[in-house]
Parts: sequence; structure tokens; C-alpha cells
Amino acid sequence: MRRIAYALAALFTLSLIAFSAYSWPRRVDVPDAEHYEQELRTLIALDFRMSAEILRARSGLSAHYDGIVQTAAARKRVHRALRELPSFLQGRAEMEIRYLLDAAERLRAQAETLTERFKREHAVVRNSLRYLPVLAREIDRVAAASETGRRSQELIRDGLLLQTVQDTQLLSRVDAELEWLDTARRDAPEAERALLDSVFAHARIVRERTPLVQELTRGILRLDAPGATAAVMTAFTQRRQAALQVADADASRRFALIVLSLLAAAACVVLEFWSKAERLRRTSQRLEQTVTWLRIEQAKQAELSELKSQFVSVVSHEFRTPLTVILSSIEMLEAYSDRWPAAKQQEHFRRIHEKSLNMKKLLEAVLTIGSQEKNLIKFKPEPLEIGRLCGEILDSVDEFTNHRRRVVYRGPDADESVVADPALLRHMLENLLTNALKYSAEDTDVELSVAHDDRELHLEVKDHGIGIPEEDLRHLFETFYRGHNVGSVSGTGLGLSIVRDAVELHGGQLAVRSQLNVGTSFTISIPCPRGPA
Amino acid sequence: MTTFPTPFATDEAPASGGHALAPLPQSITLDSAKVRLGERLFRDARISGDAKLACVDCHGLDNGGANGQAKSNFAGRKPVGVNVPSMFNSAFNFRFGWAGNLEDIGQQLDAAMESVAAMGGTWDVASGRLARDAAIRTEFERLYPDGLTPLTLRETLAIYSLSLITPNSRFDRSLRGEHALEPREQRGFELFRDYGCVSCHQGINVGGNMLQRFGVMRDYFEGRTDLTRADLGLYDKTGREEDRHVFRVPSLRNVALTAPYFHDGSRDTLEAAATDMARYQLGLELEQEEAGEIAAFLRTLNGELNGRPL
Repeated sequence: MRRIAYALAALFTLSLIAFSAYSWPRRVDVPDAEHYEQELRTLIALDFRMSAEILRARSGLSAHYDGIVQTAAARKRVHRALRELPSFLQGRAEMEIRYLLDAAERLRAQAETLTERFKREHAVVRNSLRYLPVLAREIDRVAAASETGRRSQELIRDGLLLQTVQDTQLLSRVDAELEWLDTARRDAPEAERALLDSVFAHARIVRERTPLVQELTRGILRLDAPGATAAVMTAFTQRRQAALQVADADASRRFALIVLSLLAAAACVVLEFWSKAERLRRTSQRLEQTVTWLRIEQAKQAELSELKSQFVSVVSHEFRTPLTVILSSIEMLEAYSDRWPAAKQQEHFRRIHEKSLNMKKLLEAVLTIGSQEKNLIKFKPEPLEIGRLCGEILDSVDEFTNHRRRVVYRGPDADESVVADPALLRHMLENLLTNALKYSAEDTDVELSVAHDDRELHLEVKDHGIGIPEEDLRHLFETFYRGHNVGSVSGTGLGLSIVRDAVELHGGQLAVRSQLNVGTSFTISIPCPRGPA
Repeated sequence: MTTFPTPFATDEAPASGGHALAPLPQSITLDSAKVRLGERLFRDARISGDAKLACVDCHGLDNGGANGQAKSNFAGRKPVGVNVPSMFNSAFNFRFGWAGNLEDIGQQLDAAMESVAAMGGTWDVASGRLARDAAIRTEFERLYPDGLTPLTLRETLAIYSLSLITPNSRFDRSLRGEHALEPREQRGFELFRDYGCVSCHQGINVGGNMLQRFGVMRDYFEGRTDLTRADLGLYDKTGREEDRHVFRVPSLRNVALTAPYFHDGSRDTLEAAATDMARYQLGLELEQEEAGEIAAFLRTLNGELNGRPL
């Protein structure tokens, strides 16, 4: 998980770098672009200035062409500079701008050619125009009276007029005057001929070249119109706008990528911390569990060793005592049987028999507990006569006390039938009754009450004995547990746990009420349907 | 290919005005170290193809930037097709070459380099040969990141050429009101102006800002059987009929120092040149006195080179 996150973050960073590198040339260098736009504006201004200079020259406001030459040179310089396109213009944009620049450049070159012709022709026309008034004065002086003189003056006047008026009527009149003068000057007196030649030559120059100059002027103005440059400007502005938008989009995309990679890195860190925390939590949980488990194990071990010591003490006591009796009886029988009377021998045999039975019972109890723990005891209900069963149990208990004690029985008649497990009932009642008898004085009664309603069997064993201390009540049903006040009364600590298990197997409930030195009462309620009548 | 700023295209010269003539500026802005290096190379014959001819052999600084020959003719070389024009004040020329087809000083230098009648070499050969000179190589390395290359060699020579301006002529001083011209010079100026010479020889450089047909009023080449390609003028370069016999109007500054005159070097004196110009361009027959007065005016156009009167 962590590795994948790291790999993703690395991938993001790499793609970011790659993308930046890829999109680098597409970025708009703003000062560069602004400078370029400024140059375009300069070019448009120069286009206008060129037109103005041409018109100034033509109208005689400027007496030389330095202005035209300067402007042309400046325009050429700017054009050359404009060929260095800003770096953001690439591909189609570059092609478009270059195409438009080439178009503007071609127009400029054409205009320049026309301008050179304009300067040439205009210089000549202007020179002749300067001459015409000089010649007019000369004619006044030399040939004012003659017809050639008069018509020459008319030609000069019309020639000067051509500078402001250029209608076909005036042009054809000048043509006619030139034609007349061309003939007339050949017949003129020698003194006038050179003068008339000059008038003819300059007037013809004015006639022929004034329309040419006008045409050139118009042509230059048309070519110099800043339309072509304006087209470059428009395209450039659009392309820059588009490039800026692309750059904006790029910037947003780059920003998004940066944010994403930062997020990825942050996620990585968080993930790292989280997984560390999680591992820490799990470890501490496991540790806690281990500690708990160790504590439980420790407790179990303690309990087990306690149980062992209890078992050992119980077993050593409960087995050794009868065994000691049995052994001593056997030794005595071996030693004295030939001398003892039969009754006394019988007495020892009976003691051996009795102690052997006790040991057998004890073994059975231990085995019962073992079986219980191994789930070997099965709940096997069967119809039985509860009164009869109680009678049998009371008989065996009676035997246990050597018929010295009396158990008061209150319960149903012998033939009342219920469905229950007779073995389990026997375990319950025998244990409770022997306990009651063991821990009560011989002169007190032990009561067994049995009641049956239609669903449950209620059993109560009540004594007036030593009672059970309160602190022992909680542990009463634990295996090998014995009350603190049992004194020298022998016991295994197994009986009540057998009772408890038997009740549980029956699905019943067991309760105990006890008061020290007053008595104890165990009540059992087990589900128990009525048997067949 | 490097192109060169023409100072003339800056604001140093008056853009336009009612007067046809204007004085030259006192100085123009150029890299002085490159100018000094260019001056060395200008006198260095290793630049030419056979390492025998330096720039200065045609453009003598004491000869008004020309060499006094009608058509330069050096041993082992074909004669140059035209009279060597002055290279002074070329910063204020709008075109170069007699035909006016060369658009800046760089192209003019290329033409001179390539011409077998002049340098007859290439920039590659010249820079390669100069590179063997440690002093020159070091100087180039000091001035140019690229060091000595064909391009930087060409640029250095161009910058030096542009540096050769001749301000403070007597005429310029009179325009600035510092003194009056001599009466004869003044009459010459008035003739120059009133007869219409100034229609073409005009502006800051007294010429050099336009092209004009040689033979406006009369055909200069009429009846000539020995026409050369150079006589065709711009037509030789463009092939356009309208460009036949069209030449760059040369500057008349320092013109008294650059005889002989015209593209073919056919006129030895100012008076003869002025007379022919008036005849063919203006349709005027100058009287000898008038030609002398115009020549006197033209002599006031000699300026100062680096503060030294020419």
C-alpha cells in the first residue's frame, strides 16, 4: 500500500516535470510579447509617417527626401526585427504571422520601389516647376508682345495649374499648347529660341510627369496603408490571446498537478503515520491481549496449583485415612485372627469393607467430575416414580449414617410419575443430603421437600447445621472448594460441583440460602414434565 | 548576415524641413574599440584575396575617401568598372554603389570583397589569414564573444566605415550661422539652389538620399558606342526599363577632394562636372563664371575628419 502510494507520488512528480518541460515553449513571455506588439505599433506608426512624408514632399512642404529615407530605413529595421518572433508563436501561429509579415514586407518592398521612382520623377517635376516662373519673367522681358510669348505664358500658367487641377480638359489644353509651341519655337527668332526650348522642355516635363507623380503618390499611399501591418497586429493579438489562454490552462493544469502531487505526498505521509499508528495500536492490543492472556494463564496456573494442592490434600486425606484403617485392620487380622473371637474379626472385616466402599465412592465422585468435564455424562430423562426414587436415596443415605440420623421427607407418594434423569437426581440429592447430615449436629433434623407442579420439580434440602460463611458462598460450587468452617469434617469439595453440573444438565436452577450456625437450604428447580400415569 | 543600423535613420539628422540642405552632426555613436580595430584592418592587405590590396588603397583618407583615379587599376587586376566613390559620410547614405542597388554598408563591403577588380577574396579566407596573427585574434576575442570570424571581421570594417564622417565644413558652419560664405561661394550656393542642383543633391549629405536618371533633360549616353554595363546604372541590376541609366545621386560633401568625377570618372574638374550636370540634368548651359562660382561653393563642403580639416 505504502509502496504504491510512493510510486504514485513519484509518478506524479515525474509527469509534472515532463509536462512542464513539454509546455515550456508554449508559455507566453509577456515582456517579449509586449515588445513585439510595441514594434508592430511602431511599424504602423511608420506606415502613417511614410504616407505623411510622401505627401509633404509632393506638396513641397519638405524640400528634401531625408524624411522619406529615414522613415524607410526605420521601417526596414523594424520589419527585420519583427522576423524574430516571440517564442510562444509556434506551428500554425508562427506560419500565419510569418505569412502576414511576408505579405506586409512584399507591400513595403513594392512601395519602396515606387517611392524611388516618386523621388526621381518628383525631383524633376519640382525642378521644372521652379523654372516655369523664372521662364515666365524672362518671356515678359524678351517676347512679351509676340504670340509665341503670349501662348508660352498660357502654357506656363496651365502647367502650374496642373499641380492643383488635373481634369482632362486642362490636360488636353496643355497638350494642344505644347503641340503649338513645338512648331512655333522652330520658326521663332534666334534670340528667343533657347528660351522657348526651355519653356517647351520644362512644360513637357510638368505635363508628362505630374500625372505620373500623382499616380505614384496614390500607389505608394495605397501600398503604404497600414492594412497589412494591421493584419499582422490583429493576428498577433489573437494568437497571443489564444496562447495566453493555453498558458492559463497549462498553468491551471500544472497547478492541479502540483496540488495533486502534494496531496499524494501528504497522503503518503498520512498513510505512513496512519499505518505506523495502526501497527502500534495492533501491537499494543496484542501486548494487552498477551498480558491479559498471561494473567489468565497465571490465574489458571495458580488455580490449577491450588486445585492440585487441594486435590492432593483431599486425596491424601480421604484415601489415606480409610487405607490406614484398612491396613491396620488387615495387620491386626493377620496378627490376631487366630486369637480373636469371630465377632471381633467380623468387626474388622466390616470396617475394611466400609472403608473400601468409602474409597470406591470417592473414586466414583472424582470420576464423575472427570466425566462431567469431558462431557461424558449424558442427560437421559425417563419416566420415573419420584416418591420411590426418593425412598431409595433416603435408604442409601440412611446407610451412610449407619441409621443414626433421620431425614424428614415431605413429598409426593411413591407412585407419582415424572420424566427426569434418575442418575442425575440421585447425584443431586445424595450429595446435598450427605452434606446436610455431615455439617449438622446429630440431634437435628435434615429435611427433604419434593414438590411437583405440572412443569417443574422443586427439591429442597434443608439442615440446621453450621451454615456457610458468606464469603464462601460465591465459590461454593467450584471443584474441590470447601468452606472455611468445615473444621475436621472430611470432604472432597467435589459434591456441590457434581450437584451444580447435574442441575445444569437438567436445565434447572440451583439456589442456596445459608446462615452461619443456623442452617442451610439448597433449592433446586428443574423442568420436569409429568410422566405417564 | 549582420545588417547595420544607419545612423541616418535615427534622429541625428533632421527628418524634414523647408531647407533642402542641413549640416552633418558632430558625431555618431559607435563602439570606439571596434572602430580602432577596423582602422587597423582597413590598412591591412591580408584582407584581399591575394593579400596585396588594402581598403585604403582605393579609399585614401587624404583623397576624400577615394583614390584620385578615374577607374582604379592595379597590377594584375582588371580595372574597376566605375570611379571609386568616396566612403566618407556613408553613414548618411541611403544606398550604396553607383547603381544604388546595395542596401547597406555590409552589402557594399561584400561587393568590394567579391569584386575581382577590388579585393577579389572572401571573408572566410581573410579571417582565416588574419587568425594567424595573434595580436589581431586576441583583439577580436576581446571585443566579440565569437572572436575572429568572417562575420565579425565584416562587422568591424563596416563600423569603421560608418565612423568616417566629416562635419564642420565651411558650408555647415555657415548654415549654423557661425560665419558667412565668401561672396563668390555664396553666389555659387545660390546658383546651386536656384538652377535646381539642389533638387537632387539635397538633404544632410548634399545627395546620397535618392536615385536619378543620368540624362534628365538630355541623353548623356547619346551616340556613345563604348557603353559598359556600369553605364546602364540600376538597369544592370534590376532589368527594369525605367531603371536604365539610373544612378545613386552621390553626396557632394568633400567633392573637391574626389576628382575625377561621375561614375565613369570622365570629368577632371568641378567646373566641368557642374557644367555637364547642368546640361544633362537641368537643360542649362552654364556660363564659365557660373560654373566657377558653383565650384567655389562645392569647395566649402570639405569637412573635418576626426577634427582635422580635409
